[in-house]
Amino acid sequence: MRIPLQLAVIFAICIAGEVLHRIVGVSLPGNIIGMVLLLILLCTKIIKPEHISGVSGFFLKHLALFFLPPSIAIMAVGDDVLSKWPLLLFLCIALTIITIAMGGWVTQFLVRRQEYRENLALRAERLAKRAAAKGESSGGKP
Amino acid sequence: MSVIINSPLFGILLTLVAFEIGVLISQKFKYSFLNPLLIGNILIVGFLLITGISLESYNVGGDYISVMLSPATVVLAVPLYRQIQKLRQFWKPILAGIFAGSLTSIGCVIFFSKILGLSNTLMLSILPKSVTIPMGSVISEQIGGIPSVTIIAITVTGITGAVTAPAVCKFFRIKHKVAQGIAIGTASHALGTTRAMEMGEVQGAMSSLSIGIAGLFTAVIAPLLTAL
Repeated sequence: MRIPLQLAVIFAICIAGEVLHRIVGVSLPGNIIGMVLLLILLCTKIIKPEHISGVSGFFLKHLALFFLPPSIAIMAVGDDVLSKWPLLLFLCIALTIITIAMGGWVTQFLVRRQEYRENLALRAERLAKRAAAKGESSGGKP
Repeated sequence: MSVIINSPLFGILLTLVAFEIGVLISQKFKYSFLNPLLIGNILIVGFLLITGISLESYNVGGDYISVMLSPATVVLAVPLYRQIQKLRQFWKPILAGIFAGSLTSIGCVIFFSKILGLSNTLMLSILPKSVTIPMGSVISEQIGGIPSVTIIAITVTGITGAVTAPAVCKFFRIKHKVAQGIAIGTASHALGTTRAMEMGEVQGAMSSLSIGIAGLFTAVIAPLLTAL
């Protein structure tokens, strides 16, 4: 697809997400609903990744740029916030690290447990097959 | 002068130039705290303060770029789709991990705010700090925080995640690619995801997947915990 058409598709999905949020009353924000909509379109093969690769590649590559203007709102905070800024900064930094550690540990523990169990099941299956094959071959001999 | 300032192109140009300078500096020096967003923010705020141009004038153009946050979030579905097999395979650990991360973030904000004597409004403002900006500012408004403070807390959190993620993963021995992505996305939303994508496609996809789910969990948990 040409870039203007790709943009039109993505913007239409954004607006559809916004409509679902505002009018239908889905409690997730419009852009997150839009992400889910696009995922559904991709999974159902209505849209293929290469159809929108020009636009999706651009946005994904320069993602951080779009956060720059909202972050400038830092200029407008009041004195009550400014006087607490070292504390707020410390909290944000420290808690981010704690959150990464906690989320990572829990996920890693459960993922590894699942992998371990699947491996065990796979091995048991293989052993059973081998034993069955052995049993057949020895059973066939008189 | 006012002709230049009142044009939307002024804010857009300033944003693009500041961001590109940020990218140049971060590529040249390779220290991860020299994040393009952080440098861009300092450059723009500095420029506006020195020239006396108001935030409103900047936003005439800046808002055009902010609007693009929405399509930028939507296309996060693409890397997610490429990794859909991993999501199907590990959906239970993934949901549990995101829930644990979100609960930790919210719980710690409440706990430390009470200990350090932060005002209730400030506590509520930084409560959704790990959630992506468009979701976090809405949650903040709902529970009684100040959205502009929330946006800054979210940005600082995102930069922290983007800067420290590889080191934190190494230090806490989080080696599994799926776990790294989930941890980064849950703690530091789309900004952390930019770094997760540099670490690898699996990490990037898992991280972008966590953004929406962490936001959803936070939207549900935050009002419940603050009511206690």
